[in-house]
Amino acid sequence: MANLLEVRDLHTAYGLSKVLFGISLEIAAGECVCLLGRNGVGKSTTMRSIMGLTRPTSGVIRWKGASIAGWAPHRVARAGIGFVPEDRRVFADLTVWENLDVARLVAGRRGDWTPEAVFELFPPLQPIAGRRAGFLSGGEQQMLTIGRTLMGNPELLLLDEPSEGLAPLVVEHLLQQVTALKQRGLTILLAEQGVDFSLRLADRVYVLEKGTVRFSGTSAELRRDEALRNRLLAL
Amino acid sequence: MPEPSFLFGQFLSGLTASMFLFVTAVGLSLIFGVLRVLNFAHGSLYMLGAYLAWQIMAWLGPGPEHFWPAALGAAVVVAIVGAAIERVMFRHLYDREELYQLLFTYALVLVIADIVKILWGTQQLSVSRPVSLSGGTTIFGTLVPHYNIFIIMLGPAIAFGLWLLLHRSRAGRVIRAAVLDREMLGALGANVGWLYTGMFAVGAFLAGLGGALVTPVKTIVPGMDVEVIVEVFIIVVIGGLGSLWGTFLGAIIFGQVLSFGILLMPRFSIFSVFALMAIILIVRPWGLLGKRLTR
Repeated sequence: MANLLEVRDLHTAYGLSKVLFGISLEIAAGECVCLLGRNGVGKSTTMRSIMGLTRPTSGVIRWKGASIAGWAPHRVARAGIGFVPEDRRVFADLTVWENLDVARLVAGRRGDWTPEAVFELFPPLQPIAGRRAGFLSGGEQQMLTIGRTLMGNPELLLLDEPSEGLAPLVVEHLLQQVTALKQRGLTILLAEQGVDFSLRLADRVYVLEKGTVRFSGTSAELRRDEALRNRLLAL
Repeated sequence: MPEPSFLFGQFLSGLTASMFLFVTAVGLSLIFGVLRVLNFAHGSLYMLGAYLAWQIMAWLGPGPEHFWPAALGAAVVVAIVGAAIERVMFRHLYDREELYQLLFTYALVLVIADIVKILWGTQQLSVSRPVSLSGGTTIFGTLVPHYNIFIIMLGPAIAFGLWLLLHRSRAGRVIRAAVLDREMLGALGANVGWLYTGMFAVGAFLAGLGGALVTPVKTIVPGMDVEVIVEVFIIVVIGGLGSLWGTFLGAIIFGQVLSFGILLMPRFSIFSVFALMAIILIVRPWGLLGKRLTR
C-alpha cells in the first residue's frame, strides 16, 4: 500500500535543545497509527514538525510523495493534513458555530464536512452552537477542536493527546467518536500517553522515548506482550 | 460665565478635532490590536497622506470637487505603501522585543520625513475645501462650516463601519481568531501573513485618509507627522490600545479636554491632555476601554 505520509530521520530542536533524534514513521491511507510515549518524548514535536509549526533541522517529510518539510502551516493544512492541538486552543471569544465557520472559511477545502455534519458526530455541540467557546467544558472544547479541524476536510488527522485532562466517561465518548471517524475512512495519527485509549483505536503503534522510536509494530503485538509494554511504558 | 453659544461652539470645535484625529488613531489602534506592533511611524503615513492629497490635487488641476478623488487616492496610495512596508520590513519584528519595534518604527519616521522633504520641499502647502462643503450653517448661534459637520459625521460612520467589519462579518471573525490564536489559525489553513498585510494596509489607509482629510483646515508642513503621532498616542492611551470604541472615546475626551482646557489655561492647553494621560497611565494603564495585557 502506498504511504500517505512518510517521515524519515526527522530531527527537530527548539533553539539549542534537541527534541527529536531521527524519527521515522509512515502511515498508509485509512490507517490509524498511534505515537505512544510519556510526557516530553517528542510526540507533540513530531506532529508540530509535520504540520510546519516547528521547523525540523533535518529529515524528510513526504505527503503523497511530495516533500513538505519546511512548508508553512497553512500550506500543509491546505494539502490535506488537519491538526488538533493538545491544549485544544479553541477561539475563546468566538461562538461554537463561529469557530467552525472560521475554520471552514480559512481552510478553503470543499468536502463533506459542514457544521451540521460536525453536530451529527458530536451531538452535545448542537444545543450550544451559540455559546462562546471559552465557556465550554473540557470535553466540549475537545469536540469543538476536532470538529473545527474537520471543517477543512482533511485526509489525515493529527490528534494530539485528545484524552488529556478529561473525565473517564468523556474519554469513553471521545473514543467512540474517533472510532466513528476511523470507520468513515479518515486516516488518523494519534499521540497518546494512555496505553488503553490508544490500543483500542490504533492499528499500529510507534513507541517513542527521548526523541527516538523505540518500538514499532501492531497494536496486537503490544497488547499481547506485557513485558514489552512494561519495559517501554512503565512510569 | 461664558455664553452658552460660545460653549457650544467650543464643544463643536473640540468634536471636530476629535473626529479628525479619530480617523488616524483608529488605524494605529487596529494595527496594534491585530499585529501587536506599536507603529511609531503611523504619523508619517498620515503626513504622507496629506502630501499625496496635495500632489494629486495638483495633478488633477483646478476643479470644485477634485478634493474627493485626491483624498481617496492619497489614502489608497498610503495603504499600498503600508502593505509594502509590512511585507518587506515589519514582519521581521513580530517576534522581537518591543524595544526593537520602537527603534525600527522610529527609524522609519526619520526616513519618511526625509523622503517627504526631498519630494515636496519644506515650504507650507495648502489645499482648498471642496466647493460642495465650503459653506456653513449656524447652529445655536455658532457658524459651523459644512466641512466640519462632514468630519463630525464621518468619525462615527468609520467607527460603526469597522465595528460591523470586525463583529458582523466572516472576515472580521477570521481577524478576531487571528488575534486570539495566530498559530492555530495558520494550522487551520489561513495565510496569516497576508492577513497581517491586509490589516496593516487598512490601518495605513486610515492614517492616509486622516492626513488627506485634514488638508483643507491645516497647512501641510514637515513636522506634522510628529505632531499627530503624539496626539493619537495620547488618544489610544486614554481609550485603550487595540480597542475600537476605546479609541473613539479617547478621541472625544482628547478633543473636549483640549477645547475647554484652552479656556481654563490658555497658555497650557496641551498640558491638560498630558496630565489626563498621566493620570490614566497611573490608575488604569490599559486605558478606559482597553483590555489588560496578558502576556
